[in-house]
Amino acid sequence: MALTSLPFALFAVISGVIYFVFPKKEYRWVILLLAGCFFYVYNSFRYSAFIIITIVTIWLAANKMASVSEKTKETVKAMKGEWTKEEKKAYKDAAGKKRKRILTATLVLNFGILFMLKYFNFLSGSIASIIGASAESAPQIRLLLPLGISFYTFIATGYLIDVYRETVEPERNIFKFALFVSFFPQIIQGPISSYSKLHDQLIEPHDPEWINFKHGIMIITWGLFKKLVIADTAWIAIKSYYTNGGIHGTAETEAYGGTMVLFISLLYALQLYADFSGGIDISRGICRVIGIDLEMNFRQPYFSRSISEYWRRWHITLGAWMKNYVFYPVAMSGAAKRISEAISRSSFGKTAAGRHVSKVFTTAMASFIVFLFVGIWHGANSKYIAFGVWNGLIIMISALIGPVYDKARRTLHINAGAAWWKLFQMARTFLIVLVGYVFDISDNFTNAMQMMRLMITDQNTQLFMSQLGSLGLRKMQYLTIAFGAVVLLYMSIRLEKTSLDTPAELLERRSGLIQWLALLALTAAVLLLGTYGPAFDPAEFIYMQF
Amino acid sequence: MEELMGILKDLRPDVDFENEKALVTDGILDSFDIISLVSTLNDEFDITIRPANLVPENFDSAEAMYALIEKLQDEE
Repeated sequence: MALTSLPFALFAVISGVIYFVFPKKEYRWVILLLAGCFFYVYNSFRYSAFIIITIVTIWLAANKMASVSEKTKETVKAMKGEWTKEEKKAYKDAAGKKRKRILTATLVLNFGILFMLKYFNFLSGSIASIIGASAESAPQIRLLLPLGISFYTFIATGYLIDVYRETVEPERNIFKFALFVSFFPQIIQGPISSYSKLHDQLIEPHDPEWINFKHGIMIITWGLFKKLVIADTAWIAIKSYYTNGGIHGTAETEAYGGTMVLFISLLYALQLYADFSGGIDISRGICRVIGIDLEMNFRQPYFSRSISEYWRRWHITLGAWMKNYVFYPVAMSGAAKRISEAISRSSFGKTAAGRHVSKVFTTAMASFIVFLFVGIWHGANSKYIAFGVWNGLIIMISALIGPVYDKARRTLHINAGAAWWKLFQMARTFLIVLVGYVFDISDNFTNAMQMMRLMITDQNTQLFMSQLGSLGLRKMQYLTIAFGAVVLLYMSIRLEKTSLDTPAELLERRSGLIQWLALLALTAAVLLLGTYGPAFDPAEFIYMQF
Repeated sequence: MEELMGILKDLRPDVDFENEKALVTDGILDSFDIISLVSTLNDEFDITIRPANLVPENFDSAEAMYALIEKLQDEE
């Protein structure tokens, strides 16, 4: 049941209606939980046990940690005046260790499941090839992935760490907690919501409100436009690039040249953004109708002026998760402190450059580790690890040479606020992002390298034009993608300038007539220009009525 | 408070720490700034700031940071 499918639309509407008509308001959250259960079982019945294990173990662990804390506080209070400072500290330390053991064991179990299901085959194949056995002979787990496992594991473990850090109170009711982990609009592709921002919204009852309904529908339609008109149409060409053998060709098709590789990479940048952010819009729109605000996951990422900014605007909730639960703990760890102290004590550390390096080296290392994780999170393949390493290296290097870069800019009398400089920074950042995407598109690391070499050495417009017909798109569909891209660009510029979240808020400033016209135009575009499965002719759909 | 202001000005001379009230929420301070700030504060005020303390509420303004420092000094 895909987000853009009719069954899903029906399911969402029915769930919404039942939610609002359910008379006992304080139990409306149960409707969301039941909807989530139905959705999960319908889509991923065979693997439902995994999400149940995550819910139960994390709920138990969070409550156990909280009760250890409570007991510690009570005991310390009761023993006030009887214990020495040392005794008190020893008791507190022991309790702290106990909580840490619970946390570690639960994290190991849950990430262990994720790791086994997602990466076991990759690792087993790699080890086999290292020891000289064939990858086929390596043991493999034959399982499809449980629906949303990468997302719900992160959502649930983030909560557990928050409870450990005592920044949130644990949820005592396991069913309420189950709703937070399995909330259906976010289970397929996020966002990776934080407990403090989402949980209470799920539990408190919401009444239907016209403004929420209007905005929600607008955001959903905008998401459908991005997904069906832009992404799914562009996907046809990207898929054809694969089936035609890419830069190597097949027995029937000739190899694609460098210009085509560049075109496909650009198309992929458009497709990936439209698809992912469009899907998130649909999820956010559904939640808005109910009255729930889901976190933003994208903020015009291609307007970023540095890679670190890009990662604060692309898949925002994954970046935030990594920052809170990987980056900060690593950068603030004792090991990190010792390394930077060692650098500052060395003779290099006494120089101006050394002082800078000692300050940012461990931070840069921590962000490198984060991006290694981000790469691995995306999938089990050397190309994703290369993708992570590439992003991590850029951020690490830019942190290390930051002062040199600033000095060069000042020496050249470049005004950091100048419009052309900002545009240059955006273009440079996009180029770096594009290199990352080549890793994504390629079959593996070697293939990615070949693709990049071709892009530089083999630009041939004539060949490109002659190969354009082989991508499975008609002229009208190319025009559709171009039209969609222009609308998306226009909307992105407007959102960027106004700092608003969605086109719905943007339209709110206009008259009612304009709002209706915009919604109608967008709906018409989705119906007429959208791509609906293989060999679908939108004209047929309309003419069927006559 | 004066010492804290001095540290903040050293870290980011371009930021108006007297008046900004959403330093983290608005992305004025990024995670690199925060880590650098935390290590200086730890040394200067003899405290241990932990990852759990790194919520926006504790770093959105100079006053909030000062309140955090005082709280951690009390706990030591």
